[in-house]
Amino acid sequence: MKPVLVLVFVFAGALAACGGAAPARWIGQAAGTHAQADALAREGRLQEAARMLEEFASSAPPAQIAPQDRRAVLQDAYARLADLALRQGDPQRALRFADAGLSLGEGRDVFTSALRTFRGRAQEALGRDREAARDYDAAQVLAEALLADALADGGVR
Amino acid sequence: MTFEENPPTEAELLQAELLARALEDPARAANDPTPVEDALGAAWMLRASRRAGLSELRARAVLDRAWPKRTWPVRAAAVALAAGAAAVAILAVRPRGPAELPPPPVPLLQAQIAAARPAAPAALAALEAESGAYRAQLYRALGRAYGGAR
Repeated sequence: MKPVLVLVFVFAGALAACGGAAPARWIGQAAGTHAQADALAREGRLQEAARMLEEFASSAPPAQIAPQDRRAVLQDAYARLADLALRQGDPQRALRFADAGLSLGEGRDVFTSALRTFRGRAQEALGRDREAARDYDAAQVLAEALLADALADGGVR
Repeated sequence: MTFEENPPTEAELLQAELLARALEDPARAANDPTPVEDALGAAWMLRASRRAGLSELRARAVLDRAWPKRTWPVRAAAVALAAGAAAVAILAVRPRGPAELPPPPVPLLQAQIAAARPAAPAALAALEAESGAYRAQLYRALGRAYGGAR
């Protein structure tokens, strides 16, 4: 067999092996980062928790992760970063994280609703009441719609 | 007077003599001190054409060149394998369908509604707790979907 074909097979095999493992690794990394951030936050080490989450959020997700899942994971991380910034008394930073999360797209889900809530909080802390009201309103509309769905399903969720 | 009708030159006569000698006795002609390359070459060609035959080995080589062995089934198999490998590689790197995420629990949604109001700091603590519980479910589902179940 020609060496070129051997190279094709080796490359395809390596790609398949790496490609299959990368998404699981990224998901595992996300879950691990949140677990570590939980532990740090419990000890009051909010800055370190935020640093870990920020590092994760800035890492490039593997291409094999479905866009919806990528958005969910990253928006969850950004919402948590915004929350941590608010708890550290830094609304400007919280606003930046909330904006970064919302820039990934908005959906009819808890991730968008959480980011709108935290952005509203940041706007309120910065004295921008009108913008805060808009974000609170959007968050409530979303959460109430999702709540109505959940209750229609029996509320056992 | 044409070229053929001209009397032979001395050089041509010498060439003719050498050629005749080479045809009669090639071994002796090879030892001839005079340059006889042209004459020897011509002699070999004449002898070969007279024999007009090929050894078995040469005949096979000529046939191989004229009718190359049919290698297309091997090539087709190799191409098919390469295409298969490329398909595996493409499947490995393309984004898959989204995971089935758990629906948000009612307490989380209630906490979000409560937190999306001005000056409700207590609601943030509840939201954090409910978000943490939902996050655990979320990553379990993602882990199952992407092969790294946690």
